[in-house]
Parts: sequence; structure tokens; C-alpha cells
Amino acid sequence: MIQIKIRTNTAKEIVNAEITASPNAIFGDLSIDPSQSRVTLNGDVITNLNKTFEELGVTDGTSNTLNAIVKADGAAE
Amino acid sequence: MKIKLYRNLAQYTLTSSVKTADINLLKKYNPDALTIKDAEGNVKFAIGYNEGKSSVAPFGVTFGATDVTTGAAMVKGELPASADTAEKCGEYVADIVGKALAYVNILEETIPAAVADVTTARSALIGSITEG
Repeated sequence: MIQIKIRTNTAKEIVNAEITASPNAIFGDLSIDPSQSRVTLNGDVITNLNKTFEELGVTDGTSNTLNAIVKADGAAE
Repeated sequence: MKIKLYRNLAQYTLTSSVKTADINLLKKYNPDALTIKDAEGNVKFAIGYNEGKSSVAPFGVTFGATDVTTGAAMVKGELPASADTAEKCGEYVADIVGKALAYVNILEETIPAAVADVTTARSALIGSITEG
């Protein structure tokens, strides 16, 4: 089992999940749409959200951070 | 939960009083019954089952094996080579299990009633289904 601390632009949540779960499954359970977000797992950008946490290099029994942040556009010149 | 050492195999097992089938039943019908929450409703401890993927952490236990005789959920783990005495083995396992044990004991007390409720409700639902 792993612990995942999730942060989006509007919310923070801590959930437990199996190592064989995927970021997309976690986002789905929490009704989070990551499609417009930059998603990072323990600081590393991830693009394939259907990979399992184990495939993404997470060690079982650990606490991890999963961020889905929408970056605002910079000011126009 | 029962803890056993198998020094000749360099393994240890944690055997719960909860059956794997009950964990899977509650996962489907009442997953909250597999968790302990704090005052704000956040999960602070949970148990689950994932075949072959046993793990023990301060925030949860995943049982990865099943006792073939009793159906009890089990954790199977490896003892490190450095645990070369019975005392060191016991200390190693105690350090792994320590923080989780109290929570597991609580869930082992509450899960049977949750399983009974789900079983009753499920049987009633099945009994109410009629053929067209």
C-alpha cells in the first residue's frame, strides 16, 4: 500500500492506494480532470497516467506526492 | 494478528483474523469499513488485498497472500541476512509492524460486523431480484 498526497490548483487530499493502481484511477476516484494539468509524481513530470505507480518507480509502503497543476499563461507583451 | 518467524526460510508471516474474501467483499460494497479515519474524515490507516504484493506501512497494510486452510489474509515478508538471531528477527519484524499493529487490531474487531451487514444486504438484494 502507498500513501499519495494529491495537490491540485484548488484542493489537497491524502489517499491510500495499492501499488498497482494508476494516477488516472486515483484522479477518477476523486473526480479530478488532469487533462489540462501538468502532472508530477514526486517532482518528476509524468505523461502516461495509465501506468501503475509501480511501473512509475514508486516503492510499496512509501508516501508520495502527486500534483496536477494548471499553469496560468504568462502576461501578454 | 499472529506473527510467525521462519528463520530457516528467512521469512516471516503476519496472519490476520480477517479473511481475504471479507476484504474483497468490503472493498466492493463498503470500502470505508477497511479504513480508520481522523476527526476530519481523512483516512489515516487502511487495509487491502493485492495478490503477491504484501506491504506494511504506518498508514496501511496490504495483505498479499491467503492461508489455504483458513482463508485468512496474510503478509509474507523476507528477513534480512543481518537478522541472524531470533532476537534480531523479532526486533526487525517489530520495527516493521509496530506502528500498524494497533490499527490492524481495531479493524479486526470492526470488520466482522461490517461483513455481516453487507452479506445481509446483499442477500436481501439478490432475493428481491425477479425473473422477467
